[in-house]
Amino acid sequence: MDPITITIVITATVFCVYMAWNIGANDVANAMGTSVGSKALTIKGAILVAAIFEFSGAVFIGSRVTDTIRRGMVDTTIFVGEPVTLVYGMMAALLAAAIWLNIATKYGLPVSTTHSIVGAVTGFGIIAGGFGAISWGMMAKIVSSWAVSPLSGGIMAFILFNFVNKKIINADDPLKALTVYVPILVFIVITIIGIAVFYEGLASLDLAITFWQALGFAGGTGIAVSLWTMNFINKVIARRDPETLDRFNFIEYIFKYLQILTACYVALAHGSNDVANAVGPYAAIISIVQTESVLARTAVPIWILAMGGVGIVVGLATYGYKVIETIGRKITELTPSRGFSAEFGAATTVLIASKLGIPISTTHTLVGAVIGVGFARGISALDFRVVRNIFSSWFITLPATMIISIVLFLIFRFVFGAM
Amino acid sequence: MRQSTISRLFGQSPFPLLKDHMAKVKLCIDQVRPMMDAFTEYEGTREKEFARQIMKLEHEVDMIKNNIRDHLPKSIFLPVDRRDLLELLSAQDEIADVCEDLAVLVTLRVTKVHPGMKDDLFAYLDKALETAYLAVDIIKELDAMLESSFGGKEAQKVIQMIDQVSYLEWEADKKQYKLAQRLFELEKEMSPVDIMLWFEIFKVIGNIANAAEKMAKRLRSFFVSQ
Repeated sequence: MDPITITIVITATVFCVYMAWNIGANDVANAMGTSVGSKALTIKGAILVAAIFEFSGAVFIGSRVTDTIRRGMVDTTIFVGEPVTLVYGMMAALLAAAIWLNIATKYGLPVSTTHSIVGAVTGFGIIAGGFGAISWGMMAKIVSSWAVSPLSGGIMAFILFNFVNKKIINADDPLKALTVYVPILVFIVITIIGIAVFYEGLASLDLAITFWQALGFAGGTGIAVSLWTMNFINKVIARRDPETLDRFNFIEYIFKYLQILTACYVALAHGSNDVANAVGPYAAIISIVQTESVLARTAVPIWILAMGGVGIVVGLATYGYKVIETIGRKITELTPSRGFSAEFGAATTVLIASKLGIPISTTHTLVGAVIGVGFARGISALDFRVVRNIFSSWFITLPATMIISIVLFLIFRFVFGAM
Repeated sequence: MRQSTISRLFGQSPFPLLKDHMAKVKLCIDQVRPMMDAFTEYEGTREKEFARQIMKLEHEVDMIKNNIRDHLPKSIFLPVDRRDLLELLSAQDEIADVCEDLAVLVTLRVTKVHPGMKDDLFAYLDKALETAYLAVDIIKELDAMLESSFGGKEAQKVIQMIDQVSYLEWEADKKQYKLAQRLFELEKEMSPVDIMLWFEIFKVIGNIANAAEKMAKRLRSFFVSQ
């Protein structure tokens, strides 16, 4: 490789890791914060869960959204004649998104890493390839999903919390309700996580299995864990004196365990969706540098996903834990039954979007899910100013990241092109 | 430190403050019985101590009320209608206000109590205070109401307590009627000014029970407003 290529690869790697660090430092904290706030997890526990499941999600399920950011938004065939343009563009997009994230968080705007990278890629696409280079159908799908995903998370969380509230918290015999419904909830969560990991996850390790095999594995694991849960709850109940038992305390005590499960689920879904924000543009750059051409179809190498995963975990370990600490102190009104419902609604939405290859904001979806629980009268006070800010951040993020990305693209082309 | 979207989503809950407010109201109610004991024991000084205490507490109650009102911006979304919550707060506050009214009355003038009305007087006062204490107990259920999202068994339990407050208020009314009759039976043995003041005191004691009932009724809208 010539020195210019090496410089480009090193620079791109730095941008990619910086972006992944950003995701780990902020987004992961938002995703795990509700578990710490409800005291289902300690900060150390949250970091451990996040590290394992963010990494697994990033590496095993993360490729779909990565492909969309790499190829789905901008028509890359336009750049077949001049692949370096795409390289400069993707570098500009990575740095533009990271810069915008830093600016916006400094001014307290609740921006999303996903929205930033989408705006940045679009910006360079327009300037380098014209309006025709953008696949507007995909853009419309992505942007509309930003409204649909918080709504979907909210509706799911609303329904789930109403179910938990009616069938367990307000049941005539809550202890019996716990032994009946909690194993069912455990089964559902484990089976969904299982299908997500086994089906597409193992495919990326070249262990191709069919959907039905994946369903079999996942369902089997689900039933096993669910039976174990039933036994566990019965044992815990047997140890307590029903006369002195505070029913609400006890229900929340059991839901702490359930929420650990959904915390894993959130981390997995988040890793699968958000790793793409860092590695999507990077994978495009590496593919061009290696083959010296713009290929229509190449798989994202697993080492790139792993690099993104490591970046996220490092961001979490070096900075994210501080944000988690703040969140944990601030959220005192969220109990495990509420946290469970919100996390389940958010993670399911994010995972479905990941599977469809649509990059959405995990944080905004979680906000929607928490509000869903609030509408079910589950939370004592929500501050809706954040919602207003989220709306305005949607309208600012796209143009802002587009402009920064265009400026950086022109600079990169000038600097590297002259070398 | 960067701000987190999720942590900013959670506003400050007014419910713990609502409980603090009611805890202070209870301290006001606690002073009423010893104040009336002192007043009827004809000492002329000790009831002033209790009255001063009530006035001081009533001021603190007001401060908490203002604090809640100031920290409840329109952007805060609550599991109950914010108007209902503010009306509940005013109703809680009124219980303390009425206690203060009574404190003012007993410090106005040294008034003799006729031994013939003493039993009926305290039966009436205790019933009014019982009504107020039950209202205090209802607010202690706020955490459980929140945990159950104002539904289920907990809602039934609280609605029963609310009905019980109304029943106690009605009983207090009956005792007031009996006491008023007793007062006028004794009218020839008492000075007209004493009678006038006592009649006024009866009304204010009745207001304690009325305020408690009003508060309980306000809380009822938490359960039906969904």
